[in-house]
Amino acid sequence: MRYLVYLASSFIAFAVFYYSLIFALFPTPVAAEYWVRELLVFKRDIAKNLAGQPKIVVASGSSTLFNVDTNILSAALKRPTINLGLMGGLPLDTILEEINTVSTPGDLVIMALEPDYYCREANPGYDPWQMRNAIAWNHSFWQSKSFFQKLALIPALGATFPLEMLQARLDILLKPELLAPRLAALDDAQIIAKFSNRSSVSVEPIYSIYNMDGLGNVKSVHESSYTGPPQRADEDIKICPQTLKRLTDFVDALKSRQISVVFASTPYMSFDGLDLVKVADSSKRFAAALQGIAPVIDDRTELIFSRDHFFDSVMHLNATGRELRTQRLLARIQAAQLIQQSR
Amino acid sequence: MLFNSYGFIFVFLPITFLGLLWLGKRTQQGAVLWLGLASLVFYAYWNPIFVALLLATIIFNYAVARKLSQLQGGPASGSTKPLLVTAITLNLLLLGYFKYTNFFIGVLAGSIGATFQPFHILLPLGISFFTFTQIAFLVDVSRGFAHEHNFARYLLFVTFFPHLIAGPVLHHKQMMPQFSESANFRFQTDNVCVGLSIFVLGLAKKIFIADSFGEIANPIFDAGTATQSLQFFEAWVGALAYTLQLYFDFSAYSDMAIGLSMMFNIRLPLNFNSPFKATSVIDFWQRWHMSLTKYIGEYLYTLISLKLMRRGLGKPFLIDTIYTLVLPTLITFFIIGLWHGANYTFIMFGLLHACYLIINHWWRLFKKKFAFAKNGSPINCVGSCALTYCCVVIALVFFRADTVATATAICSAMAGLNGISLPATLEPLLTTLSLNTSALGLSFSGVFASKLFTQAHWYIFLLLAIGHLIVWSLPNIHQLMYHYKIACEDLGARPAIKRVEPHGTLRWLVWQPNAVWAGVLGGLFFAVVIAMASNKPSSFLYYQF
Repeated sequence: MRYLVYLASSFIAFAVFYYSLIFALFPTPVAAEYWVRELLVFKRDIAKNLAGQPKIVVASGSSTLFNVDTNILSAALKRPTINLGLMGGLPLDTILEEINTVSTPGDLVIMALEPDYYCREANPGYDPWQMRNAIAWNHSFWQSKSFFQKLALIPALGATFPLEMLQARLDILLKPELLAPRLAALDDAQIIAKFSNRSSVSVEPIYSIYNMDGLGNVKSVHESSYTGPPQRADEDIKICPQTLKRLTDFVDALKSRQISVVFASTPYMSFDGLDLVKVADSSKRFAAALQGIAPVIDDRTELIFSRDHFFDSVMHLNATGRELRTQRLLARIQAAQLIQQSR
Repeated sequence: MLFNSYGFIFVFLPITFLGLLWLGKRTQQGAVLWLGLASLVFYAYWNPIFVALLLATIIFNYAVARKLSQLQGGPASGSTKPLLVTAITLNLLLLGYFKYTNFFIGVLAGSIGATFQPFHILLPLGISFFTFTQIAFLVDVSRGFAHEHNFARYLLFVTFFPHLIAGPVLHHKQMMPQFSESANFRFQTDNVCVGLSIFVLGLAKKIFIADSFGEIANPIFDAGTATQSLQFFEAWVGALAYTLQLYFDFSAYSDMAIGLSMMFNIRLPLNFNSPFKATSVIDFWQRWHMSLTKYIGEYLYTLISLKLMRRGLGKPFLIDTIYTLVLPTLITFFIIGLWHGANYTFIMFGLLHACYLIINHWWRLFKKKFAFAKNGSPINCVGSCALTYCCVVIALVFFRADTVATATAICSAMAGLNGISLPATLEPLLTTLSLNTSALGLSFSGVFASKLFTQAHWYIFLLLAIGHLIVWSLPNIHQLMYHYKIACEDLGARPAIKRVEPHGTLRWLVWQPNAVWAGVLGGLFFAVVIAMASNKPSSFLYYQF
């Protein structure tokens, strides 16, 4: 019996030690995706610079970054258009929060969310990636959680995470130059200054703000390297009730601030045997499901692209694909007279 | 429900355990029923509909066993055969429907050039295990070796959750006496300490070791399926990684099953006894999936070889061995292969092992006759062990691959037929040696030319080295728990499996119920629990069989 007591005590002692270390060392600039923070800061800064004039915001995870060229929209519609393409790993709440932050009365918001955003209830995004970023730079996410929520979320970081935190803390003391890029990414002013002084040479990752123009469009990519399967344009997008409610509340709140909102679809890849009648039906059902919230301005049948229009994933178009998709979006905005309505 | 899930560890297991203790003090029959029902809940967690199927087979087989017992003891003795044959046929038809319908219709359609759209048939978990367990029971009842008049005990015998999904294949002779013992439904500190410790070690083996090898093996086999050309080192790394993944996965499951059973004072048969330390393929099958080997040997091989032996009597040596060795081995291992899954790859796996075994047996006869090679020398042991291991690795390529074509493509790459890619740094060295590298099939695009791995090269080689070090140098769970009887084979006066005490520096690894072991295992348990949150839940490989 004594053995079992020792074993249980050891388990509890390790647990207490593990959690204490993480709580004590928060926040720590551990390895994380700091470029996402830079992206958020940069996109907010674009909106800040356009303050006082009505604008268009095209928002989503990363797909808008590659699928829409807001320079074309800005020029044709005579209204500045921000590319608020962010990052597909971010939870829906973060995307919505950013839309809310950058939009002002009189704006038009086009939500071109990736299909899986409509039903992420089973996976709200509290994965190791999200938690790691929370400790490294997304401190507000961490602070928004209760003590017990934190207890439940921390294990996603893995057993050796406290050691990583300790090492980062030691590096700050002993080799601060190693962590300089991470620390710079925590400073908004440094990010904007670095963006202003960026060179024309591409940097990694391709989604980095240092590859973007002043409206947040990623640099043109001409290659077509995606070899995976297409996503099914003829299948329905699953919309979960909880997400539907969240979107309804969010859009209502925007509308109450005199901000117009529409939904848009993402591009799909064509494949042998794709039935366009089924695609049209599915597209109609999607629009009908969102009807109570805001209209869907495009039809999926016009967003079917050949494989050579895709860049590195089924969600990202290359330069040729992007231009085509943007022209189709432009035509839809003009046809629906959205600019006139949002004035 | 997976053993490596929070639901199992923190909800199902404590409730089942405490419920059993509470009932065990009051009514043994109630405790047996509780454990049986808990096992059904464990099974239902995966797919509740199949609980009805499981229960139906249990009720059917129990009823048949009762009838067989009556026939066996009654005046109509000797008339058990028609009932037994009918019952076995029905059991096999059920198994065949779920497991082999698509395969055999596909084969038939293919042979006549027709196209066949497979039916959507979901395979009930553990169906091979509970079907085989019950068939053995019926056979023994019909022979008069077994009888069971208590339905609750029979239910528990078939469904006992530590073995239900992936074995071991239980024999009633080993289990029923334990389920009849009232002391086994009380709290026994020693067994709980030993069982919990074994469970934690198994869990750690699964989470920290087995799943890591899966991440290395999968891209290689996926590339093979996509007909991507693999190079020599990539193919070997994929094959070795899968071999270790299966080894640690199966070993982990077996440890967890033994540990969980021990906590409930039940000893399961040993299923895994350091199989890669085997010095021959015959030895390998006495250490790998031991309960299946024993089952097949007892109920199939013996039957087939007895039937065929008569035909070979008085014939020349070669003809005689065809009847006594070649045919029974080929048939048995064809069935073992098919038992693992309805695919040509599993049949190939079985037939390859049959060939290994036939050669192994012939070699033994040859050695005996000419007495030219002595066993026991360290070089002989290492050589035999290495050769056995290579044979097993090659057979496991077929076991893992989706198609025979994929397996042969990987085996070709392992044989160097796609060339050998070396690090570019070696090119100047080999050029100075005036070697005609292109004639030798050598290129210098790096060790892993296809860039299939996301992990660093040094990490892959280090992991493989550590895996093999554990396999060949560390004691197994039976040795770690040397001072305790953890398997039902240990229970008799004369243990069925010889126990080897770890010697030398490994002796300090033998488990003891002291503060050091408790401290280490408590920490390990916590680390595993944390790792389970960050890893994707992965089922055991043997769940699919």
